[in-house]
Amino acid sequence: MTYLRIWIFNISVFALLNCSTPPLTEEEHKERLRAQIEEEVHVGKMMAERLAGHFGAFFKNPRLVRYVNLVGQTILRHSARPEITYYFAILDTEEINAFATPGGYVFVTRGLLTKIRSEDELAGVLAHEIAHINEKHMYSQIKKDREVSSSETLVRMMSRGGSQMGEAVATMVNKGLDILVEDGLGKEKEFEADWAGSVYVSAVGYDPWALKSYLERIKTQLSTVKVAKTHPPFEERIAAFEKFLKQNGLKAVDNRHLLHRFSLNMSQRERTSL
Amino acid sequence: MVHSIFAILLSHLLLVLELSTPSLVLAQDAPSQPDVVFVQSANAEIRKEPKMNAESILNLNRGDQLTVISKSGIWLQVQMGETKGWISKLFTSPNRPIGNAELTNQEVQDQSRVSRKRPKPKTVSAATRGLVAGKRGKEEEKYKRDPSAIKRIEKLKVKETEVDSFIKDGNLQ
Repeated sequence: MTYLRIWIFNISVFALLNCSTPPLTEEEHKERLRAQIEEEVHVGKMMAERLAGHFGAFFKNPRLVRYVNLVGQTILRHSARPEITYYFAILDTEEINAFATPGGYVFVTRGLLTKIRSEDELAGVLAHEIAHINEKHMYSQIKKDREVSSSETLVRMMSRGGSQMGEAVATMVNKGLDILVEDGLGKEKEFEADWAGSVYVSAVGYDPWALKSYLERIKTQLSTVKVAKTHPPFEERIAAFEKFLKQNGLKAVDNRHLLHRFSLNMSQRERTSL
Repeated sequence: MVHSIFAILLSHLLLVLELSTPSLVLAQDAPSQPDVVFVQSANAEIRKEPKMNAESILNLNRGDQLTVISKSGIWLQVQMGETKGWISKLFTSPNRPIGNAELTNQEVQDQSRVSRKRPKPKTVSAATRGLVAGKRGKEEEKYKRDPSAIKRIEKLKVKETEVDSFIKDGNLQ
């Protein structure tokens, strides 16, 4: 009798485990992904609008804006998430920083551009931001822990005036901006973005070690300002980055031939003709 | 007595086996088997060793399906056809890639569906701000919006042909 009960219990557990909701079909899964991406892009765009409003977007030097765009899109040839569109822009502030919002918006500040010494360094900075987007570092932190049904996405519900959904988006946007501007994503995610970025730039032929040169140059200047608050200590970050490069066969690349076009687009005059 | 102990052990063993198998609930979030990944990058390679400077043994296309044999740091040991080697997980995704064009088409269809239930203009503008009437908080003031700047940024996206020339001129890949 005892083991009859045990068997009945086990059969019930089997039944429970196997009779849950059937797996999604390929099309349903695709539809769910679409819904999630739609939301990610929407939230990211709203954050981008606020970053541009907070710092001001810089358009005065079209050549510089175009150059940043070209370097960014070059990196994406190997590392883009095919479902989103990436945009690159400059923020009109002396602050030395770069930002990424979910869904594909990448910003570098005017202040950062004055510190860059090569196209490889610029690529390193942009790739770090692309990695935050690709690895959903920000989005996974701010999104509500909830199911997004395939037919009723947050964005569509919102477009019908769903007040709760509007609040949910506003909360995500505000939380995201606080992370970007005030709190930072955390040490682990910053390390991961450095590492992923180095793989991205290496895949297109940029020097993966260039980001290290850039970090070493700015570490003394940034120890007291905001970026130090949102990023890990430079010594630790540089050491972890160097270890990663060595461990993963990311060799230095000599791209001296790029210096000419770099200086054409990023000469001191270009960077300060504001 | 021996029979009863045997039955208990056997039944528990079966239960443990069942629990260790990915459940159907989990399968909803990942319809593909966990040991399969898809190439996300437009250009990726299988390498002989888990190093970026290791010899490339197979060029891959976006969407190619790879069977994962093992994992090590950022590397996946994978198999495609007869070829076994390594690829950085950063160039792969557990989901089959959805193209941007595919998404755009979907959005067009969705909008036409939604338009039948179009809300009053005022409600839309409040909702698309991510806020509802009376909910404008301190954060909204702290980070004021500039939608026109983002529209302009989106328009400044360079063409693919320009990127092609830029890559070629820079002798990049």
